[in-house]
Amino acid sequence: MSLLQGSLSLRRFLVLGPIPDEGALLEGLQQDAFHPFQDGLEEERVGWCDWRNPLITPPDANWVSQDRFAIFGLRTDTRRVPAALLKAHVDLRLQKLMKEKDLAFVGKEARISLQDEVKAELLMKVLPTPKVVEVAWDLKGGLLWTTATSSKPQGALSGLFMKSFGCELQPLAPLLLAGRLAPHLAVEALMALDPLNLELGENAG
Amino acid sequence: MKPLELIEQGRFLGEEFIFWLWHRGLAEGGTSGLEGDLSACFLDDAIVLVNERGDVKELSLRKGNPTESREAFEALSRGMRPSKSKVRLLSGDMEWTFVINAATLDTTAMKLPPTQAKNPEGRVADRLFLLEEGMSHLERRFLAFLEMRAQHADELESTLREWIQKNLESAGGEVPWEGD
Repeated sequence: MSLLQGSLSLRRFLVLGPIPDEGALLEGLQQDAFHPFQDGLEEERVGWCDWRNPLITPPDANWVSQDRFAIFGLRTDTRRVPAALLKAHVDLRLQKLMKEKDLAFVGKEARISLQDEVKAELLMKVLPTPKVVEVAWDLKGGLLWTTATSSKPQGALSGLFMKSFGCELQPLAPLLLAGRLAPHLAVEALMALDPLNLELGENAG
Repeated sequence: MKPLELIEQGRFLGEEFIFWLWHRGLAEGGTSGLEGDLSACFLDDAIVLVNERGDVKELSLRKGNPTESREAFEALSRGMRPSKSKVRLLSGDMEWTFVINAATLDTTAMKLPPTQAKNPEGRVADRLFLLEEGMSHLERRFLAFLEMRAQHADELESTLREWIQKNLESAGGEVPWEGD
């Protein structure tokens, strides 16, 4: 599923805020480009990537602008150590430590520190799982199309979009779309409408 | 107002829009009613109906011909409202199919008319054009619905109620729970 081929699941957002010029747009994409995991305990990373290939970061400037659209990808990598595997490794390490130092007990802080150390080692061996959603920003129309249709990637998209470009994203749900398509119909008046009563029979009001 | 509140506040408009598309698909050949617009739009073979009250909160009707079924009109007559439906949109020799969600007007599983372009920039430009074209057909209908809804709500309500009643009376076959 992508803008390039196959079926598409799309959500549209209204972009609220000043539209950046090409320089500011590319700067925002560069500033928050996706960077792969290094060491540490981080389990999730988010950043902008090229729409053609998520390994191209930051997005290639020559491919971002397509007519009046700016097209790029939002890449989210996650890596997790399975809890049971972590516990097994930590238990072994604890036993080894207690034996080497001839300890009867290891305190809570030392346990947590050991667990973080083991987790960081194991995280280095785990291959991250990448997820990419595509973004097509209609710079003239002030609309953004995205293949992010579930709440988690939408939240990541909204957050990073605000950070990179200083613009807010509002889902183009019925009332907002109504306000956009029919400015002569006041949104307040539409909000004040009661749902139609289409129930038939004796229980209908 | 927060985005989620805005979505919830407008949910009924999305539901009634799907209702209206359903009605126009069956009663008006899927036309938008707008002058010069030759496109057609129909609800297809999957629809989800919801109701906050009653024992059944959600009813999913799929395959066959659910939009003309007795089951669907029985559910509508009991106050269930469409929350999601597969839609088929036709304009000239182009066809779009997608699932529309009433609360958000998201379109999922959208199939676009084919594109001939081979290179990525050509394909993406074609597909964005086709996307916008499909959405503009839908938006024209949404606007026509909104104007009707805002200015002639009583007329719309009575038209839809009569349509449900008529289809309830004429829907062929017995419903499964009334078999012998």
